[in-house]
Amino acid sequence: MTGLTFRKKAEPEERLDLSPLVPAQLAGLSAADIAGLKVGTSRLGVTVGDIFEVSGDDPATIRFEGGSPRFDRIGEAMEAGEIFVQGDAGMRLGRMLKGGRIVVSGSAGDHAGSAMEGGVVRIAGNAGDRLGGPLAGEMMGQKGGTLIVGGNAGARAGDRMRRGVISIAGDAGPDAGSRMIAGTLIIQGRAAGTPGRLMKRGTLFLCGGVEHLAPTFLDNGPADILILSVMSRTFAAGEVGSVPFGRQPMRRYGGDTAVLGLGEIFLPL
Amino acid sequence: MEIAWIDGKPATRDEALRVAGDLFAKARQPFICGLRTDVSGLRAALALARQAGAIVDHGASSSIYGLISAARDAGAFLAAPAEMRRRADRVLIVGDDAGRVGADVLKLLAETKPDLGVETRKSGRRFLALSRQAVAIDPGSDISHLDCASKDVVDVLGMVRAKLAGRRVAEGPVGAGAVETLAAFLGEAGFAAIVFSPAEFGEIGTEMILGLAGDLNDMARVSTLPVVEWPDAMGAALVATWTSGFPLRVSFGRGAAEHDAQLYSTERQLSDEGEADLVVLVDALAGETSAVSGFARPTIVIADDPAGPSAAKVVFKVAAAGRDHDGVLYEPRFGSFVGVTGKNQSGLPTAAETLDALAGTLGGTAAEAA
Repeated sequence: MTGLTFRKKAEPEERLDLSPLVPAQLAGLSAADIAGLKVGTSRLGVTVGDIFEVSGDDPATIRFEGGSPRFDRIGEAMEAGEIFVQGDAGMRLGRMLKGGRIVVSGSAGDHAGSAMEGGVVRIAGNAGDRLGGPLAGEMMGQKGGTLIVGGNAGARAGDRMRRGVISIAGDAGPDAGSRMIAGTLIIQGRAAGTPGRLMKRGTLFLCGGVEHLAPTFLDNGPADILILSVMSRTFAAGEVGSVPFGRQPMRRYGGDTAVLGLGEIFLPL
Repeated sequence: MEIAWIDGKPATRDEALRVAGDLFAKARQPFICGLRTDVSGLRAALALARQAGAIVDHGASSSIYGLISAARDAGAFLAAPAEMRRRADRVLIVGDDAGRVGADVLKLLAETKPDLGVETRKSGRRFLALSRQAVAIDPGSDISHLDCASKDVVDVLGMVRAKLAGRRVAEGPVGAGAVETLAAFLGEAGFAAIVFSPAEFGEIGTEMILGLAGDLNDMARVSTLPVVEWPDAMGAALVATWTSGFPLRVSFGRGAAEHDAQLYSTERQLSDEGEADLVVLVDALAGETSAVSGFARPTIVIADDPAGPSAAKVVFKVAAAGRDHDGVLYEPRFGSFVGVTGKNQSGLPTAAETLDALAGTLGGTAAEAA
C-alpha cells in the first residue's frame, strides 16, 4: 500500500476546505468516493476531483503535491497519521489536531495549530497571525502538542495558549503570548509589539529581544541557569530541537500583573 | 430622473436589474459590502447574500471590530449615553480619539448632571481625560487632564488594574501618583463611565479597558461607553447577529452562515488576496459616503448619491433611509434602533426594495431566503 497523494491540477479559484481529507475520514473510501468529496467554499460545489489528481490507497499517510494559500483546514482534528504538504498551506492548518504529524514545506496562513490538543505541526516557512490561537469566541488556544515554525510568525502567536509548546525560529509579529493561560512559547528572533499582554500564566522566551515590555512585568533578576539548561536539553532531545537559551544567560520578568501576574518572560541579559 | 446606469449609460431599472442578475449568475464569489442602509436594507442584503452564496461585511466594520472581538472574548460592561447622562458622576475619557469621535456624547454629559442614585446625585459630575490632546467640552465642566500618549494608554490602564488588585508594577509611562489618581477617580465613583474609541486601541487594548471596568465592578459601579466613528456599522453588526448568528464578516458560500473575522473582512476581500469576483456596494444613508472605495472588480452600486455611475458596471440610485424615506436606524445615544421619519420623501426605490428586486432576478425571493 502507498500513501494517498493529492496532486494539485491548477491553482484554485476559491478557498478550499480540506478538513475531510484526514485519515479517519478517508479510511474505507474508494477512489471515486474521495474524488466526489466536496471541498469548495462557494455555491459551485467544487469537489476533490476538480482540484486534485488522487493516487495511492493508504490514508494513514497523506501527501499534497503542490500547496496553495487557499488550501484551508488541512489536518483538522486529525487523531493519528501523517500529512505532508509540498508548498504552502492556507488558514487553520492543523486546527484542533489531536495526534499525528503535519509537515509543511512552505508557509501557512492564519490560525495554524489553532486550539490543537496534541501531535506535531511543523511549518518550514512563515506562519500567519494567531498561531495556535483560538477562533472568535473560543476560550482557549493551543491545548497541547508541539507547533514549530521555521520562519517568522504573524501577530498574536500563542494567544490564549493553555498547554504545549510553540517554537518560532524567526521573528514574531505584535503581541505574541497575549492572554496566555499556560504553556511555553519560544521566539528565537525579535518579538514585536508588547508580548505577554494580559497573560495569566505560562512562559515566553524572547531570545532575540523585545520591542516593548509592559510595566506590568517585574524584573526578577537573572534566571536560574540550571532550570534553563534542563529545559534546553529537553527541547533539544525532542521535536523542538536546539534553542538559544541553553547557552544564553537570560533575565526573568514576572507578569502580567494587570491580570493574575503568574506568567514569566525570559529576555537575554 | 435617471435612476439606473449600465456601464455609465442611463438605463431603465428593469434593464439594470437584468444585467445585475447576469453578473450574479456568472460570479463565483459575490461580496456584498458597504451596508450603509436601514434595518430593512440590511435584512434584504443578508437575504440576498444567503440566496447568492455571498460574503457580507460593512465597509467600516474595522472601526468596531476591536470592540466586538474584545466583548465577545472577555465580556463587557456596556452602557448607553442616555443612561450615563443620568447615572455617571465620574467620566474617564481615554485616549486622543474619544474627544473627537465622541464629541456629541461628551457634550451631552457636560450639559447635564446625574439625577439617578443616592451616591451620584450628591456630587455632580467630574471628568478626567487620560490623553495627550486636551478634550474640549463645556468650559464650566469640572475636568482634569492627565498627560499620556495614545500608545502608552493601555500600559497605564494595566498599571491601574494592578494597583487596584494590590499587585506591583515596574516603572511606566506615568508615575505612581498618576496611577493612584486614576484608581481613586474610578474606585471612589458612585457610578463611573469610561469613554473611549475602540478603533484607537485595537482588540487587545480594548480588552484591557473592558477588563478594567470588570475589575472595578467588584468594588464600585462602572461601565464603559465606547464611541465609534461609524455607528451604522454597529447597527449592521447587530442586524447581522440576529439574522445570521454572527456580527458581520459572514459567508453564505455553502448555504449556512460561516464567520471568519480575517477572511471575510472588507479590507481583505477588496485586496488582491480576496476571493470576491463581484462586489455589491450598498451606500444609502444620508451623510458621509461609504468608507469603501475602488472598484477593481465588476461592481453593482446601490447608492443614494452615486458619485460616479461610470465607476461601476451597474448603478442604482435609491432613496436615503431616514431622509428620503422612513427607516429604522441605529442610534448610538440609546445603543439601539429608532424609527426615523424621512423629511424629504423622494419616491425613489429604497435600498431594500432594490436588493429584494435583485434577489428576485436570481430565482426565489429574498423573503424565502431570510
